[in-house]
This record gives sequence, structure tokens and C-alpha cells, in this order.
Amino acid sequence: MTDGAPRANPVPLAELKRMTKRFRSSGQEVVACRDINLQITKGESLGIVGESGSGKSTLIRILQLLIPPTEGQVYFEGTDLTRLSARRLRTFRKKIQFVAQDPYGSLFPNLTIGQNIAEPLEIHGVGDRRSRRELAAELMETVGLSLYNFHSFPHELSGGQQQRVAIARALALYPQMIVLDEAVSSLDVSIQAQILNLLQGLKEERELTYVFVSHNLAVIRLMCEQTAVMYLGRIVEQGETERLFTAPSHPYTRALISAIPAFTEDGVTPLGKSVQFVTGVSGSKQGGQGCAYHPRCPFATSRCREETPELRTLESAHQVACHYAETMADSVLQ
Amino acid sequence: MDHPVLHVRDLHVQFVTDTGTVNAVNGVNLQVKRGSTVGIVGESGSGKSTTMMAVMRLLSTGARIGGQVDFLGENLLSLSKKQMRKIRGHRISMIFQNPSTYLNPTKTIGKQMIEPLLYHHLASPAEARRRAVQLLGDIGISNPEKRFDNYPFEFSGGMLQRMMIGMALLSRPHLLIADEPTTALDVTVQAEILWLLKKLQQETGMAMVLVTHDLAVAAQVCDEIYVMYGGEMVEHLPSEMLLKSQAHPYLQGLIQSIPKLSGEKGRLPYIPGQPLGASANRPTGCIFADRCAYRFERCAERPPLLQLGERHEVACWKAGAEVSV
Repeated sequence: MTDGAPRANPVPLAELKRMTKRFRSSGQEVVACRDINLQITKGESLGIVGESGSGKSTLIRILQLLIPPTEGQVYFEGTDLTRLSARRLRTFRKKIQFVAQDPYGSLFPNLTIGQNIAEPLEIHGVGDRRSRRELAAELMETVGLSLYNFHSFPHELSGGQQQRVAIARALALYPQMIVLDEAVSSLDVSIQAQILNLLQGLKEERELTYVFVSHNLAVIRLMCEQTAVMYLGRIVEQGETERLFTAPSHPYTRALISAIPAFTEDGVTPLGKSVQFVTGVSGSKQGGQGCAYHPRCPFATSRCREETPELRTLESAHQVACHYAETMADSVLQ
Repeated sequence: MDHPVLHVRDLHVQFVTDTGTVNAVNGVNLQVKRGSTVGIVGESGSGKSTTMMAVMRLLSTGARIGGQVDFLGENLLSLSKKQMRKIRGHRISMIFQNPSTYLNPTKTIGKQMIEPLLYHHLASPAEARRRAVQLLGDIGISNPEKRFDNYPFEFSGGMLQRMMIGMALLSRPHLLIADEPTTALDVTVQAEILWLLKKLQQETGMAMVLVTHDLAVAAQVCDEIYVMYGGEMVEHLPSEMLLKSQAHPYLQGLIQSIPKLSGEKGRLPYIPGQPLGASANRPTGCIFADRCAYRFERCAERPPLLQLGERHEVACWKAGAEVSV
């Protein structure tokens, strides 16, 4: 490939361009997302990781078109959605659906399972009563629920079954993209595996693209081709999941991976030996100079305190916002 | 012979409700030795928390508790409420999942930290304050002298959990019970808390019981692991054997269904069906039989805990038979 030659890339399914979101609360301004560039290609699910307060929830709310960004654009299938009227936005909302962490809280307790699944069809005026019921029944089978539960209420089902209902409802409008916010975190491991398998199958059958928010990196690795790591409102590293896991190049990504208690091929990851306590670092200090991660970073130098690192490309679309990314990638993960 | 700090024998817990009797814990045995960490793992409704709540006598009056809980040679179940209060927060401390719900939002952190010391008459107010401030520094709170007078809302979740741990250890207990202490926290903070617990345990030589749903956390932190299912102990083994020598089909299925950080991707093996709810009718045979791929005739009869090796017991006919052959 010659330098500068355009890659034969199709239009991305969703794209954020220089997106910033600020909130104002009691006179103080909080930058929840800062200057985010992100592309989601059809069929390439994206995993988003980061700790609480990193801005991942704001990011997915903007991706779902629930709130507008303060600056920048949101594209879906090539259309700039920030310019659309509320009415035209509705047709796009159909294409993006959502599954929340707490399955019970996300279902209507006073509607039956069948009614819950048919609700989005009704809102968007799809079909008549009868065809909606038929589709709801069909979807129940798709997600592995017994039709016996069609007239049950959400509280009569187990947590895993409730999550299946939420997934069936998300599928009802034939979406292109499903945003899953910690969708398996509250489930027991044996049930979690069932739901993850179901999601993998649906992705293949229906050519879905997932945006998967999770603190569980092993789940992200299983479900997503691409991964983005967020820290204090910024994307600090993104790229192909396999690459990110084998050659993490931002110190925060490395800290995340080594902090995860997980089973490997031959044992369990060891408990971190020299964990540093995070003290006095809060989200409000993000406006300061230098790298946002430097107060916690064991590798920080004077340059990191003064100069904010830009997100730059290392190789094969692997982007990192760290002055010393090359040395990071080369050093061995402890 | 080293006596265990905590020895639970044939513990039963029943809740009598309007809709019937719930058998939450059914004949649990476990031992915690001095200076060791024991993990109790299981899925929701397996009875792991109820077991430890029964040990601490923190269950509601509607609970019927049977069996014996020996703590340093005393049966906790036979103590009066007053005697029990002298043990809680002094010789046995407990920490929970969500620190912000266990702290009083209207009192400063310092006041709450020294409360157990003053209640149990372990130190004078001035001495208690000195110890609390020192401990705040030890657990990584910067500027402890000033932070002593802050309120809970002025701290992050990870800091609050560190303070709960500090508070629990201030009275130098013989036993610490930690019930899902890191479940509500970010992974990097979780690593900090687990590391702190381990460090403080080594310094003080106390025994610890960690209740968790996360097998990987238990394997990282604990010396021995007890696995509960449907209110029963189905396997007990040293942590280093967890991945290689687990014997119960439930534990095998559980470990296989956890996504890995390396190796093959694709569909996960899973355990079919639903975990046995506490209120469900209990089978007369093996409680796991209806979800088990290895079920055979003998499983209609309840398997006892069979000894597989040193510190390794399993409640399964198949696993037991393989060893005796």
C-alpha cells in the first residue's frame, strides 16, 4: 500500500468526530467526554472499558442519540445526526437499541413479557396488534425463552430470563447496533455464559454490531473485535482487541489488565504486588496541564506533567495517548 | 494440634415465612485456622452470606439456626445477646459490600472509626484518636489528621472501603469476615483493597473469611476454598488445586464457563438450567443432579462429603468413586 492511498473502507456504521460533552452542575463545569474520535465499523463490535467517572456512560448515551454532544459530530451510516430534527432522529433511534445492567429495572413491571417485547414496535407504529404479538412470540423463541412465559410478569422470571427478555426487546426493531451497558455483570457466572453465547449467536445470525461496556476485560475480549480504553473523559488507547491485550501500550491499560483477577490457561493472575494507592485524584482536576493519568502513573516524567499527550497511531490502527507508548509496548507485562 | 479459630459444625439455617419454610443453609461444616484465609464461593442464593451472618448472629429473629459455631473454644450460638455484642467489632469484625450504606452519613469518619474502641473500652478517647489517625495513614489516606474530621460523602468508594477495613481492624480482631468487600469497586481499586487486606492480615496474624461470587478473586487471596450450592457445601479444597483438581461437576462447570484472558475464544461451556433457589423444593438426592451431565442412579441418594485427599472433600458420588477405584 502506498502512503496516503485511501483504504477501501466502507462508510463506518457509527462515528464520533471531535466529540466533547460538558455538563454544568452548581456553577462548576464537568467535561465528561473530551475530544473523542471513534469509528465503529459494521460487524466489528467495540468494547469500552474504564473506571467509574471515565465518561463511558456519557459516551454511550451520545452514541444512542439520547443526549446531544456539546461540540463535534455524531454520524450514523454517514448522516450527521447532530443536525437532524427530533422527528427525523426517531428513524435512526430504531437502528440503535440498548440493554442495561439491571434487567428487572429496565422492564415494565406492570406489563407482561409479551407486552414488554412488543412495546418498541408499538411506539414506532410497526404492524398491527396481531402481528406485533406474533413477532414478540417469535423473538421469545429466538432468545431461548419458553412461550409459556408470554403472559408472565417480569418478577416471575429469574435474572437470566429477564435479561433474555431485555435482549428480545432490543431485537424487535431489527437494529443495526446494540449498546450493552454491563449487560452480564449482575448475572451469576453460569448464567452469564448462557447470555454471552446467545449474544454471540445473534451477532452472527443478524449481523449485529455491539458496543459493549464492561469492567470485565475477559468478557470484552470474547465479544469485541475492537476495544477503546477511557480515562477521565478521554480515549487513552484503542485498537484491535487482540493487540490491545497482547501489547497494551498505555500504562493505564496495563494497570487494568494486571488488576483483573482472571483465570489463565494454567492458573490465576497473581494479586498485584506493588499496588499504588490512588489518593486525592479526582475528576475535577482533569482540566489541569499534562497527561491526565500522570498522578497515578509509575512511569511519569516531567514531560508528562507539562505536556498533554495526543492520541497517536502506533501501527495497524492501534492508537495510544502516551508519550512513551513505544517503550510501554516493548516492556514485559508484569 | 493447632485449634481452628472458627469451627462451624453442621450449621442449619431456616427462615419461616408466610409462604413456607426456606432452607437457606443445610449442614455446613467449615474450619478457619489462625492466620489463614478461607474463601466461601457460590452463586446468588447459595447460602454463602447467610452462613456468615449466622456465625455473627446477625440474622433476624425469624431465622432458626441449628448446629454449632465454635469461636476460640466458645459456642457462639449459645451466648446471650449481651455476650455476643462483646465479641462483635472486637474479636470478630465484619466488612460488607457497599461501604457507604454501612457508614453513618451524619457522623465524621473519625468518630465512627473509634466507636468500637470506645464501646469495648479498649482505649481512651485520646489514645483511640491517635491509633485511628495512624491507621488512616497506614491504609493510604493522605493527610490523615485532617481527613479524620471529614464526613463519608467526602471520600471515594475505594477510600471508604479502606476505612471500613481500618475500622474493622482497629480493635485487633482474631477473625475478619469480609462479605463481597470489592464487588462494588472498580478493578484497579479492587486490587488495592485485596492487597491491603492481605498485607494487614500478614501483619496481624488474624484469620479471614472472604465471601465472594468471584472464583478468581478467591483463588488469588485465599488458602482454602469452600464451594456452596443450594445451601450446601459441595466441595472444599486448597486454592492451588482449584484449577487443576476440582472434582465436583458444579465447580468444573463453573470454572469452564468463566471467560479467559488468553487462549481460545468462541462459545463458552455452560451449566444448563437455573441455580437451585432457596425456596424451591429440595430434592432428596444430590442437589445438583438435575443440572449434572454425569448423573447416574446413585445420585437419587444424597452424597455425603467424601474425603479425596488432605483438605480436599467433595459431595459427589462420581468424584468419590473415581478416587476409591
